[in-house]
Amino acid sequence: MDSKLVQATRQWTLVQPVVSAYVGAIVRDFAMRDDVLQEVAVAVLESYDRFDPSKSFQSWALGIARNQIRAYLRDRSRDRLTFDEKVIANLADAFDQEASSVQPKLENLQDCLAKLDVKARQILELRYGKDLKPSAIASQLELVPNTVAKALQRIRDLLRKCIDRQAFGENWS
Amino acid sequence: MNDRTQEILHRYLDDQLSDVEFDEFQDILKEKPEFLSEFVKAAMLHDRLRGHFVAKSSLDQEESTRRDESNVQPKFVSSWHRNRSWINALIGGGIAVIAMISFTFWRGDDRKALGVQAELVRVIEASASQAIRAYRIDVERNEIGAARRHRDPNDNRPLKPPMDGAVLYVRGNDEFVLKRKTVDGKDFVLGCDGVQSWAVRPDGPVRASADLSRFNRDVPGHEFSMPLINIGEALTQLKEAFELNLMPNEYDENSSSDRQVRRLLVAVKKRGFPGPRRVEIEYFAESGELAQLRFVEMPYGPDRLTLRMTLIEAPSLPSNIFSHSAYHDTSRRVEIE
Repeated sequence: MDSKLVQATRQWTLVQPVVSAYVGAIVRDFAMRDDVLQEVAVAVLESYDRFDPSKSFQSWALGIARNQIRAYLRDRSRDRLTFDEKVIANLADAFDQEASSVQPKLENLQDCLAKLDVKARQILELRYGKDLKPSAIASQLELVPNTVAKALQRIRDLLRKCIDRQAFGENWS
Repeated sequence: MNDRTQEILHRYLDDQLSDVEFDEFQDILKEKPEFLSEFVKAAMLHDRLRGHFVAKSSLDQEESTRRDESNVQPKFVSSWHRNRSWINALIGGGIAVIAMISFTFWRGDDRKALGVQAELVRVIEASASQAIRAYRIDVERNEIGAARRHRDPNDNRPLKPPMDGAVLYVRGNDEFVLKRKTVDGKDFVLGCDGVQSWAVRPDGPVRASADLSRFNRDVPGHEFSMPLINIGEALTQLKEAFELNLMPNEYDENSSSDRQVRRLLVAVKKRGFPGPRRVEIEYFAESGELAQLRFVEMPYGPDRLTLRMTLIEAPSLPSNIFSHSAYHDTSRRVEIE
């Protein structure tokens, strides 16, 4: 790989988690998110020559992601449950501003996942590993869909609190 | 963020919203900037969870493939591996952390700091209550120090009875009983009735002293004035040597009685001060009474303990619970030190 591509790859690797989360916040289907993210990665690397190094690479990459999302949504105009342009733009700004404080905390996720009970990890495995929605998870586990939905909310809240606590400890010790 | 907005956010992440609910969600995103921030945090966790479980699933699959293919000749390389482009490599889950980004905590303004201190004071005052409370002590982790790993075989001093599974009874800040079991399963009890401190070993004389801290040396936290047996004193030390942070309210979903709101104070040790790396104080919001104390990496002689003290129901107790006479028969000799 030439040096410019190496540099682009390095920078993209650093911002990819933020861009991925931004795309995922709008494109809810995981498989579709992967497709859009791949298009964003290609666009970032192919247009790297046009990146102004005096500006934020993350902001620039999020701008490209916004364009790719717009193209994706245009192709799926029949899907009514999509954000309008203003929200998509506001979200890009919000991710750009918040990511640097959130991302380091997420490094504690693995430790926090280990603290969950077996049932909670099973539900997460089905939701995130197998890409099942609450009603499908409920069928598998012989539960009511609303119970699964509430459980997912509770588990995510627990993880958020654990991650925050761990982050407080690491910052000062 | 209220319960309704919380719920709607999580239902969005799981693709559960109706048309009407989606419009409501979008309106909230437009009208409330603080909600945007919460959405970003939730979305980043949501995405990271996806990455974690996909990577885990890939690893499990590869491990399984390796096991299946290990005895197959010639070596088979799956088409998935052959066709994997470097672009897919970038996108795949489990991106390694390149660098830790250091970040500055928002310390809050003076009013917030005062509020946190006030909560700590409330907990300290509640600990001085004259009701008898009981706590179970669990040792989560014990990092055994080098001095104990390489103990002199000629050293005949008895090892300290383990703290794991100990029960502590307290009343106010002067009276306590700490009950432990030796490795032989015999009772080893320390205590103080506010007039005399004492120690009742499985055998030998009962030892007592007018020095109320005479037997504290055996108790974690003693070395830096945070003995577990005096919760008020332990918590008071947090004011100077620790950074305090108050976490949001949470409900005790496991409580068998009415749902009591709990709060969590996290105290992180400042550099240059002795003591545990972190102290977590979980207490009942209304009364300030302690529900659980957790000490992370507390020095205990050569070891470092992570231990938890949890409020438990105290059974009906004898009136002389804090006196050594409740723990031995009258034939035992009592030595005053």
